[in-house]
Amino acid sequence: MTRTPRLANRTATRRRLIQFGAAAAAAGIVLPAAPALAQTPAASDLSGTLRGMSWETEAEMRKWFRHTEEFFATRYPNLTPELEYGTAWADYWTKLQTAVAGGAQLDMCWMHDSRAQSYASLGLIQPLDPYIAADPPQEWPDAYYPSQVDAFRYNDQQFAIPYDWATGGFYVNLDVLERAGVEVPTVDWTFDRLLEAGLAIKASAPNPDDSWGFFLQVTSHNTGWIVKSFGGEQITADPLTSHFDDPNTIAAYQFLYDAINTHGVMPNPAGMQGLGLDQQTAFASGLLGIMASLNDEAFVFGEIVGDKAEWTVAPTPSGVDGRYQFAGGSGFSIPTTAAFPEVAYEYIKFMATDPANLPTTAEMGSMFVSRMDAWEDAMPDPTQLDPEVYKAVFYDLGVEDATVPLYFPGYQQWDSSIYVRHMDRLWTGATDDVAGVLQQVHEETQAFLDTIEQ
Amino acid sequence: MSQAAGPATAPDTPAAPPRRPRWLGDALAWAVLSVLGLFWLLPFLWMVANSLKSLAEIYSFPPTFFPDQLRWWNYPDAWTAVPFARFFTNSVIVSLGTTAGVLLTSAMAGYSFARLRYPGRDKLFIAYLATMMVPFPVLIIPLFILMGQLGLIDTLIGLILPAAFSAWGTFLMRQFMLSIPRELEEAARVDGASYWRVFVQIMLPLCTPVLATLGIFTFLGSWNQFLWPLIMISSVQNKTLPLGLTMFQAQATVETPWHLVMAAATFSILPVLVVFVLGQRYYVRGIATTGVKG
Amino acid sequence: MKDLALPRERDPRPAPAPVPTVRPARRQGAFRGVRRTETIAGYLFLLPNFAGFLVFSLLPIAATFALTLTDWSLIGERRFVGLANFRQLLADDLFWQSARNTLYYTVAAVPAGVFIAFWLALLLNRKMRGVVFFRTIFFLPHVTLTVAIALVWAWIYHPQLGLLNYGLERIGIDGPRWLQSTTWAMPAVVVMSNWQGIGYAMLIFLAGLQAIPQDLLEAATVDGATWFQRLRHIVVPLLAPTTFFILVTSFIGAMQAFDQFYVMTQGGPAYSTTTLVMYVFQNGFQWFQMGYAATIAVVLFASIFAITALQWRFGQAWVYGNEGAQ
Repeated sequence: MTRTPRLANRTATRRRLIQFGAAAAAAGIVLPAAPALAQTPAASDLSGTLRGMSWETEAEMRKWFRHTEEFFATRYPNLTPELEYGTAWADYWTKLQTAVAGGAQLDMCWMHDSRAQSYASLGLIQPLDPYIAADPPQEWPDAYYPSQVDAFRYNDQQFAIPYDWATGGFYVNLDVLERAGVEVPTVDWTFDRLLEAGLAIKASAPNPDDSWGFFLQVTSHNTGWIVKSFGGEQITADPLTSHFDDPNTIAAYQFLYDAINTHGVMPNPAGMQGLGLDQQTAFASGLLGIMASLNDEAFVFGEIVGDKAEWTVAPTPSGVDGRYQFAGGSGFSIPTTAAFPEVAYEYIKFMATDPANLPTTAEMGSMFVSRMDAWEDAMPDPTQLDPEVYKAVFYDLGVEDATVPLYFPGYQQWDSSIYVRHMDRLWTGATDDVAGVLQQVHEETQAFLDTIEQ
Repeated sequence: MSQAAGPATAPDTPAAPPRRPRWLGDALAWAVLSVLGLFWLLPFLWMVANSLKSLAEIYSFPPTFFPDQLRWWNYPDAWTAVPFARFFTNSVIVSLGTTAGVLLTSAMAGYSFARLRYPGRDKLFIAYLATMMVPFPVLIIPLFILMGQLGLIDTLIGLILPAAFSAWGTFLMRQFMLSIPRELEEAARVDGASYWRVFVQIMLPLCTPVLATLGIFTFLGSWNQFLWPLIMISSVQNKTLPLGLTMFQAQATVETPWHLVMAAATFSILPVLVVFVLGQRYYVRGIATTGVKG
Repeated sequence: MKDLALPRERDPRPAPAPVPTVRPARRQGAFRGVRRTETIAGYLFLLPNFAGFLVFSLLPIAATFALTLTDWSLIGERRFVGLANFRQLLADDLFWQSARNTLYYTVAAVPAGVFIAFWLALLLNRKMRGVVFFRTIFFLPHVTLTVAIALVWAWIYHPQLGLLNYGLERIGIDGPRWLQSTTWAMPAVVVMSNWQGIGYAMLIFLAGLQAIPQDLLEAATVDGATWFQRLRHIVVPLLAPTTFFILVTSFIGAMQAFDQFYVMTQGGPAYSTTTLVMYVFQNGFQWFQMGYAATIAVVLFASIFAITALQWRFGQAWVYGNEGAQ
């Protein structure tokens, strides 16, 4: 594979950067963390309430609390942890911003790679470098997925400790594939092969008008790996540059447009986001043969599909430029309104990086944890899905081929006011001029990127 | 002043003593309302039906209306999945507190605007109306900061207070009081009654239907309130029902157990229906016949 | 509570009669006494509401107005930028598109909603078995949690799996992709929104109908007025303050529509259903531009205020006729 050297290069650069940052921090910055850190692991007499905010559900948080109790009981018996949770995804961000903007005490929070750049650039979360320099996590950063460490870097500073790593893959309805005489996709599949399979699935359906071959997400962060497979790019860094007018990028979008509107092998995704029902319903009911999603869906898929179908997971296809696979993830940050940032850091380190706690962390997120060697802790129930297949698709291939979306400050604004706004016209079939729409996206994107202070 | 007509004699509007046989009109009304009503009832029924299905059944096509098996245990499952008893209590406290506040302050302010004359009254009223025109999202952060200074973040009082002084309620009460003939109060004033007595003994009884309306709306509005509690409440023990419902559907990437959400949504509206039906008891005419002008 | 009865306690003398049916200020002396009592009573009755109103409404609103002159991005300093936000607004096509969407929604939703609610209220004002049951049904969508309603309607409007297109197919019509079409998404939300909101106007109309003096209707019937004549000449005029209230508040509500769009379409596709308040929310909470969000909000406020003032002017004549109760 040609991927490996590139990965190693990137790691080296990143490591240099981080070491430099840590050294600078250690040399020049007064460490607010020092007094608290000096007292660990002996019990501290700090008292008060440590506040955190999470988007996890009740069930997920219960696992988290098991360890939380131990941490506070042994190290900070007079600090009461108050972690709030059970807030839906979109609401979580509204709430987090209001709390920090309103000056409310918040010591740690869940952070996502898609938001980290914006939050860091606004000053809603603080750099962790002084804390890392004073008390680095074990084998930091070499033992962690480089893409996730990088995702939380802004202006050469680290703004979150990554805690998980999610990769993309196909969920395959075996009954539908058998009916159409299509084999389960392999790593050698091309996008053309995928289209053929899609046409065969649609043709074999009892009601082809209401059936589809496959589903790929077309949100801006989900198209990056497809575009790269076609040899194109969306946006590259240093300096931020738009490539939406690249012929290969256009070819990738032409493929998606044709799949939806020319061949009807892919459902129209616009307006479906947020309900989370559609493609799963179609898949479970045998109306959709192949569906792209993240690895964590494997943990709940059995309940949705029930006994309606046999299913498995498979790799996403390769393009002319090799193979790329979606990856992304979450981390933990310390807001600028923290009252106990040192304790928060120690707590984050304890949960997200201490090898002894990683099984719980893995179980909580249904994701691979951010330490690369701890993948075994995050396998699905063997009665639902063969762990070997799961590992081969999501972990082994992911380690080789994963590519993370490039996020930048103001990403959400760019996404809704430029990308979604124009792309919606393509997906809904309001226009068939793929190159024209992309040209417009390109121009507006470049103008937007030029306004970002770098 | 004649006696208020009781519910039993309240005839149809605008018809008074019917000419056609009563049953014919009723049958017609029933037919129209049943057809229309079904359209209004359907989503509710769908919600109830889905609350009795398995998750796999909800994710099926073609969709089925009737559950394969009545999975009534979705209800206890949902009830125990998160502390709903606590959320119920909180919602009741917040809704009752807000309603009491609105009824009292809006009725008084409405009376002041509708009946009493003083300098600056109309300008003040315009200010009330104007505040209804500022979209809430831009007020969230200033209000949140204010609540922080008052020490009310993550408290139920913090949910009640901003809603308890309603411009909408004041406007509603004013409009209704304007439509009540003045003669009754004037007679009382001549007899030496204070404004307070006129308000309590004459205006309020005449306003029973509109007070019931205001009470119902305020209670329900408060019961369904989402954005402000979302911002304000951080601890589980202070969450209200709508916040509790989202605790099932937190993570974007993982499927929501819709059967449990539907069950929870179904049982969380029951108290509201009780309020609505009970509220209608006060919904009979508060004014019967008066010496109406004109 | 007791304290609120102050007007009487402060002024133990029996209130001078007669209460001013008198034309202003002919007999200054007696009149001034009445006036003072009335003024004090007016302020005192207003006070409990006004105290809260001042703190929880006027204060945050004043802060919002101040924000329009800054480039505040949620945290950090509030840099004064003068009228830059207002200039940005003029050149912002998304603002204008949201403004058009908001007007479209208001014009499509409010008159139809009020009209239907009026007839429904008439129908439900009968003394009839089951009337409470029917009122409850029409009110159900107003109380069902929005999340559940959105979900149910998403199923109804779903292009392939939905009930609506399933029905249309049965009668030979190939239904559009409702919520995913830039043309049909707005009408779809208008229908859903009126369906949901009808209980609001209906209930207030019902309360208004209850306040119509019965003897007037009876007298008219005795005089041989038909059902329609009674409706036209008695019910509609007497209901005017109620109708006016419903129109004004529905208008204000529609101009600030947010929830139904937020859950049904999130403003899409291609901004075809983004309303001004959604755009405010998007700018403030998703794009971190609080100063600009406040500016849009203030412009929206000014528009609603201007239109309401017009409604008021015309409404006043219509509602109170020549009496001019103000």
